[in-house]
Amino acid sequence: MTSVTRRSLLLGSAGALLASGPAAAAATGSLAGAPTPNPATAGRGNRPANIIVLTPRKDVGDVLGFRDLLESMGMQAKIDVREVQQASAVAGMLPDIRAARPDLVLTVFTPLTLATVGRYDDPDPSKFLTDVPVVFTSVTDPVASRIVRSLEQPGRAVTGTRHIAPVAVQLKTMLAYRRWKKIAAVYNPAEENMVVAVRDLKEEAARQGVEIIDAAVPRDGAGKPNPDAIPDLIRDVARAGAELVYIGPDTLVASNNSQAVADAALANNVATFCSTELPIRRSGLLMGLVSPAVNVGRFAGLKAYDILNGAKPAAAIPVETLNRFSLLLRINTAKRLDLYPPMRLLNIAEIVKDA
Amino acid sequence: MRLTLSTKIMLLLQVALCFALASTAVLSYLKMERMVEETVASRFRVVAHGLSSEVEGAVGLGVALNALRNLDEMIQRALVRDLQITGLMLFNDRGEVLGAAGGSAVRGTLPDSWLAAFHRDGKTDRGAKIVDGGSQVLLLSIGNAYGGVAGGVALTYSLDALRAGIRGTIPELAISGAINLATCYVISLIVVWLVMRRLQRSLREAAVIVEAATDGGRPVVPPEIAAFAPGLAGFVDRVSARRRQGMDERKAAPVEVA
Amino acid sequence: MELTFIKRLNWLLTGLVSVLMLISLVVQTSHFNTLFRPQAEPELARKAEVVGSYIVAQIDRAVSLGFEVDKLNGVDEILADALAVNPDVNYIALMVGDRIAAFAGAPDARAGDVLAARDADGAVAGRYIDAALTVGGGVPALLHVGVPAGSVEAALNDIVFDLGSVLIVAILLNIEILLLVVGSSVTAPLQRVGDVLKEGAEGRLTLRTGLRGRDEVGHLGRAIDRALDVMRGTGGAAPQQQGAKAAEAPAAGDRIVTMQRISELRFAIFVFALAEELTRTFLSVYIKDLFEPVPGLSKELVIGAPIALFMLLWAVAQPIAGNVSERRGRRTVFLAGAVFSALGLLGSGLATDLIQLIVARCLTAVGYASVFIAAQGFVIDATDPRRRAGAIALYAGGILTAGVCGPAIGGVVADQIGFRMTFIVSSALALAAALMAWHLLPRHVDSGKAKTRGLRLRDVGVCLTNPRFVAVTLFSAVPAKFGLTALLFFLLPLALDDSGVSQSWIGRVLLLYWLMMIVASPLVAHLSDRSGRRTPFLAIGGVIAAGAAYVLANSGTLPMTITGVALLGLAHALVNTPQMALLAESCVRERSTLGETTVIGMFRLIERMGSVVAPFLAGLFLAYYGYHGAMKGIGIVLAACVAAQLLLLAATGGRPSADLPQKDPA
Repeated sequence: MTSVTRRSLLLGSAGALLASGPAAAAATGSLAGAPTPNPATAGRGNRPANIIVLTPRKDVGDVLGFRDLLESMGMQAKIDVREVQQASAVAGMLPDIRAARPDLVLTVFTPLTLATVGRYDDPDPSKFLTDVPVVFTSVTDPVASRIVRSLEQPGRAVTGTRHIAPVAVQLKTMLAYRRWKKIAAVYNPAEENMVVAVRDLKEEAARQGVEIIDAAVPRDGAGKPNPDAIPDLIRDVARAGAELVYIGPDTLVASNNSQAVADAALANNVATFCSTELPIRRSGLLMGLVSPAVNVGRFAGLKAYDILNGAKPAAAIPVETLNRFSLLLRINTAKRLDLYPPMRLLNIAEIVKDA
Repeated sequence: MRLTLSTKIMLLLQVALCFALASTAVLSYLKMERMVEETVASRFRVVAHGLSSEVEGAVGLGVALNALRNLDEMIQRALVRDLQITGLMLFNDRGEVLGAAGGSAVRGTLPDSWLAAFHRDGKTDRGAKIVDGGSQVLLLSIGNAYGGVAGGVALTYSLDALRAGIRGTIPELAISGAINLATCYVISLIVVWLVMRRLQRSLREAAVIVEAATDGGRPVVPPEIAAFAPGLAGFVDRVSARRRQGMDERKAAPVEVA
Repeated sequence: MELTFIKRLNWLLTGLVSVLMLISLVVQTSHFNTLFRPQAEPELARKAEVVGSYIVAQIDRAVSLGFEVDKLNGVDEILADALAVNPDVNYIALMVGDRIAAFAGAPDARAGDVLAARDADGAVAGRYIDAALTVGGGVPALLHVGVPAGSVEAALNDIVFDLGSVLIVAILLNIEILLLVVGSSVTAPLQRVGDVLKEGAEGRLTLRTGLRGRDEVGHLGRAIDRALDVMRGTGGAAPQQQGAKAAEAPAAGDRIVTMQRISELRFAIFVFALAEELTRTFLSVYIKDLFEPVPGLSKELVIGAPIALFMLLWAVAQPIAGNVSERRGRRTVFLAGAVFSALGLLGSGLATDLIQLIVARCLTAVGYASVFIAAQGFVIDATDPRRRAGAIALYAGGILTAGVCGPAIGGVVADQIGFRMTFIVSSALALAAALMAWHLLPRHVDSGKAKTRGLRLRDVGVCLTNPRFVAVTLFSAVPAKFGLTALLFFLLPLALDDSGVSQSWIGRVLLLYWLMMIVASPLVAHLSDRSGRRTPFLAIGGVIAAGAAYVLANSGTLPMTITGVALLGLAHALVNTPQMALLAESCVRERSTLGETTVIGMFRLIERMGSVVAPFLAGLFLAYYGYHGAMKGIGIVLAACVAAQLLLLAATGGRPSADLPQKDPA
């Protein structure tokens, strides 16, 4: 059993990264007696900051957290939340957004963010917003999606927060449950960010002495990954000795077929781990390390606060992820697998009960 | 009382002993006091840690500190764990108290001295510890999800009640110290007397010899006194010689006055 | 008079006090144990319950989620976690039924599958107080938390070293007081009596003992005085002869007062030096605490600045204060210096930033220089050359003793009341010394005395043309001071504090250096004088000092550090006296042209430059190479100096005739 303390598990390697980041400085700086609640610094020229939020739904946790943080910092802001169902609709809204002359735009999730700011290597001012600082939230992999050039230095006035825990922290959590020898990564090979994520996982696993079985969803005749093959895939990896199935922030596997994964894993007596929240809550997966959307939104709010305050230009604010995540644990799955969670995990876990 | 050499030295020894005993007693006493205080503090630290990690867990799940609904319930639950806790407060990063329970709990905003200590040591494992009036205050921070500080827990307990017990031992300590000192006095009295006896006797005898010589006698200087004061024999010889010479002169001279 | 007896008396009394103190301490400590047990143990038991209650809550939660107590996974780990954050808990055990299901902590508390037997007091294995808490769930389960039963004893054992330091200090202090009291009420009067007897036996009757004491010595003294009075009254001595002798009498009679005064002055100097030494262990740490960044300067250099400035000002102020004290009187300068120091120490304790601290330290430095030079001046004024060396040794011994006592007491005191309060205690000590001097030092300036001329730049030139002077001063004395300041006053306290060593321990470590000096110095002086050789001592001492720096650089553990400090003390003991002797032997010509005081003064002045440079160089090394690298670097500098010194001495050939007897322990 690896020795994982609560702090090391939750902080992971991101803690070190964050400790030197500007957000941490701002957060701790406010504690050190700096004049945080100073409404006079809000916006430019003492008027309330004008913020436009683009989100698929108004009630997502990200937006709540964003609003909550700015309020708690005492920033006066006019926050205009616009629901955008389809990413393709963003292009048509741009003239209107420009006309509103916002101080900052917040975008939620990868598709809307990409539709708003475009790729960094293809900045077309006519099609994308390039003259207003944009903060995004809950973007899986902004580098793989070409939203920013690098996490540390976005390079343009686009920064924000990710909601996926670093791969090392995820693996540490999995290993804290049991010292697994073989882990199968089930993923959609057509999703570029998943290919990257599985590659990272393999590297990290090699360092920990864990074997990763590459279980890409097989493609059908048309070359499209076939979700119907998932149960067979899981049976095969179980036969190959996999003790745990890992699924990442994968649209095909996690978002759309999590129940199939959960059922097949249970049938083959294999544990499951997922890095996003909804699949665990919706289907019978065993556990996952996730970022509560509200906290991701709050963190994005902190970055927006730094930008609006003039503390740092957006281009110099790194893209970060939380350094504290929530461990979700489905007790009934644990019992059915006869895998009692270790007390350390149980103590810090949020228990998901079957509905 | 005649201040003989041995009395002088006895007094000196007593001063040295007194110093050593008193300083070690004070040292041990302070150490003990600190130990008991630290034991008590560590117990309350466990309680404060319990509360702060409970709240931290909730914050980690995405609940803003200000929005914690069962805050009061958490605080109450922690408060009843130990009857000696006089106040338990939960505050945000600006020191505004969000929930409080207990007789000496602060409401509104925490005092500046508490906040200063909190900002200095609150993030450490042991937290901050300051004394305010008769109360000991423990302050522990609650982290937020992105490495900052969401707020903290403050716990107070009565230091006076704690110290009363320890201070109660002082009279007994003083008595035992006095007995100790008295014993040492007797022992050193004997030893000093044994050691100083020869010196004092020699000195006294030398004085007697000198006086005898002054009064015209012809005292014999014993060998051990001669060894003790090499010049004495010659001196006494000269004195008695001169004395006798003087007496002879007086005898020889006509007695005018009488 | 038989003075060896007095010496033996001192040792006997010291031994007696030491033994008595030791026994009393043992008795006292055991009494503490019985007194404090009822205070501490219930608190510990309560703590055990609280710690246990949190673990029980965790297990209860798991049980409420539907897991069976005996099938819980990783309970050992959470028990170990709880132990890790509560080091005063010895073991935690979860008993399901009557068997241990999970256990963490001291192995001797368990015997196989059950807890070890309880003794009559209810303590497990005779060593632990056990608190048992019920765990919920269907199966009967108990959580046992054990705390040490002998915690009070353990805490007392912890302070055995503290008590040991106090004991050493108490014994040294006792010697100090013995010297004062025995010196002024036994030794000096007996010497006086002996002198008077001798004079009287030879027929000179003008001398009186002048003793008024009511003890045996006083009695004898009065008897002798009376005998002399009677003789004078009856004697047929010529009147003019009497007159001549009478003039001589008071001057000679002063001597007893002088020796008495010097032993009293030694005590005042001891107290005064103690004031500074108290702060020795934590000064560099204190400076670090107050540190504020200065643009363009590294942190380590800035930390070194107050220490270096202190040494520089001391070096510069000493000759000036010496001059002033000759014109204005020793007493004035002593008092002013002591007051300066007291103010400086007070200021150091109250300083809120580095600038204030530096100003306060400078004031202290000027004070120190004034006090020491004034005291030395007084001793030189008051003694005739024949007894001067002994008198200076007596007075300098006080400084050395303070060097031993100061860090040890200071460390313990600082641990108890904090750095700032310790400074204030120091300040009070300096004031106390001033008060003693107020009573002690004569009010009048002896204006008839020939003034010694001050240091002139040309004199330095004269001396520096003598390569042997350069070898001794620049490459032996300067590195010695350099090593002392850089390693002992600057780097070591910082490094030890950094690695979490308590102030008390730092004090003890520093104490060792002075202890080595005290023990080894006389031995070395004896050996060196008997063999008549100086250079080998300087060379070996220099090499050992460099080795000490190397040992300190590579010391990961306290014993290694202690070894390093002891080696440094030994090294400096080796060079200390032979240095002075070699200086005297090498500078025969300079001494005759410039005067002995000037040469020695110059030597002292140049020597101090080592102390001035040390913090800067050490800070520079520290900034670039860290603690270990810095100490190693200092070792290299020391080694290079030894090499340079040996080369110079070898190049200038054999030893010059040592015609002048040399004794200057100051």
